[in-house]
Amino acid sequence: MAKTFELKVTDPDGIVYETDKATSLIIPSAGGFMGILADHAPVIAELQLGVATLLEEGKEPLRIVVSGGFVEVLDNTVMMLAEAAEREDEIDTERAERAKEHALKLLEDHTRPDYDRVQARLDRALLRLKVAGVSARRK
Amino acid sequence: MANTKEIRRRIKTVTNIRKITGAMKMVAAAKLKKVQSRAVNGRPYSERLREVVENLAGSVGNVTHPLMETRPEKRVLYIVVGADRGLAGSFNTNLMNHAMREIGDRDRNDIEIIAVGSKAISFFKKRAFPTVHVLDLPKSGADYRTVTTLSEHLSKRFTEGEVDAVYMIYAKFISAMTQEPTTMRLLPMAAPETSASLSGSDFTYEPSPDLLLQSLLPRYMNTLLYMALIESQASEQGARMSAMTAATNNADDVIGGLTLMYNKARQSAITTELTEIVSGAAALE
Repeated sequence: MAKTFELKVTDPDGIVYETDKATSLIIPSAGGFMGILADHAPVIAELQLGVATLLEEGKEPLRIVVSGGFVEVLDNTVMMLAEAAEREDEIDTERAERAKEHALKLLEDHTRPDYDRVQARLDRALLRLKVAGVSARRK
Repeated sequence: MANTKEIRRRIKTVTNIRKITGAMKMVAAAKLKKVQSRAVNGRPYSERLREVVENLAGSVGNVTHPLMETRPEKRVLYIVVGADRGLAGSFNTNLMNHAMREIGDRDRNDIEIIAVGSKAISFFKKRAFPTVHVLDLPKSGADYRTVTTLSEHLSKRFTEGEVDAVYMIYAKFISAMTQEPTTMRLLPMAAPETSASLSGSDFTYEPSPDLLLQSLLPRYMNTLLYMALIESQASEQGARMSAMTAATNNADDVIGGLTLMYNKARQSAITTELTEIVSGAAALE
C-alpha cells in the first residue's frame, strides 16, 4: 500500500476539498507541473492557472481547477491556497459559459487597457468548461 | 385622562411597530450568522497566507516592494465602508464621525474618498467632497472577485504615484453587541512581521523567496481588504440586531404602560357610569 499524506484545498470562500488519504498530487506550479508524493520535502510554490490532479486511495482520480495562489508542503501535509478552486464535479458550466461569452465580447476591443486580465478570465472560463466537459463524458 | 378609543389606537400603532422591529431583529440575526460563517470559511486561507508571507519575509530579510514604498502623504485616499441601510442604531453615525475625525483638517482637494454602501455615499456627497468614488458591492455582499478588482485599482494608482496612501475606515467586529470604528492603513503596506513559526524546517521555494514574496504581497492585500469588508458587514448586522432588540423592548414597555392607562380609563368610565345610575335611582325614591 502506498504511503498517504494529508491534503487541504482552500480558497477565500472556504475549504474546497480535504482528505488524509492522498497518494499523489500533481499541481500546476508557476514553473511547470510538479508532482507531490508522501514524504515530500518542505516546499512553498506558486500556482498558476491549471488543473491539479489528485490520486486518493481507493478512489477515482479527482481533478481540481485552480487559478493562482500557492501551495505549501510540510510534514506530509499539503495546503493548497488557491485564488479560486473548483472540483471537476462542482464546476458551474452555465456560469463558465457566461464568463466566456462576456470575455469574448470584451476582447473584441483590442485597445482595452485591461486586455490581459480579460484574456486571463477567458482562459479560466475555457479551462473550466474543458474540464467539466471531460468529466461529464467519463460518466 | 385620554379617552379609551384614543389609547386603543395608540396601542395598536405600537404593536405594529413592535412587529416590524421584531422581524428586523430576526432578519439581522440570520444575516449576521451567514456573514459570520463566511468570515470563518475565509479564515484558513487568509491566516495561512499571512503566516507564509511572514515566514517568507523572515527568510528574505530586508523586504522591498513597490507597494511598501513610503512617501510623504500628499494625496490620500480613504475607503469608507458604511451600511446600505439605516436602522442600525448609531452604526453609521459613529463610523462617519470617525471618518471625519480621521480626515481632520486635510485639504479636501488633496483627498479622495471611495464610499461603500449608500449611507456612506450620501454622507460624503452631501458634504461636497470634491472626489467621491462609489463602489457597489454585489447584493450578496463582498465577494473575492470585486475585492480583487478594487485592490488592483488601488495598487495601480499607488504605484503610479497618484495617491500616496490608502486608508480603510470600517467598523471592526468585536461582538454582536459591540463594533468599533477602525482605520487600517492598506497602502503603503506595512512590512510583514517576520515570524519564526515555520522557519524551523527549511523550505524549498519555487520560484525564489524573493519572487514569491513579490507575488504574494498583492494577494495578501486582497485578503486584508476582503476580511475587512466581511467584518464590516458582520458589524452592521450586529449593530442592527442590537438596535432592533432595544426597539422591541421599548415597544413592549410602551405597550405595557398604555395598556395600564387603558384599563384605568375603562375602569373610571365604568365607575362614573355606575355612580350616575345609582344616583339616578336614588333621586327617584
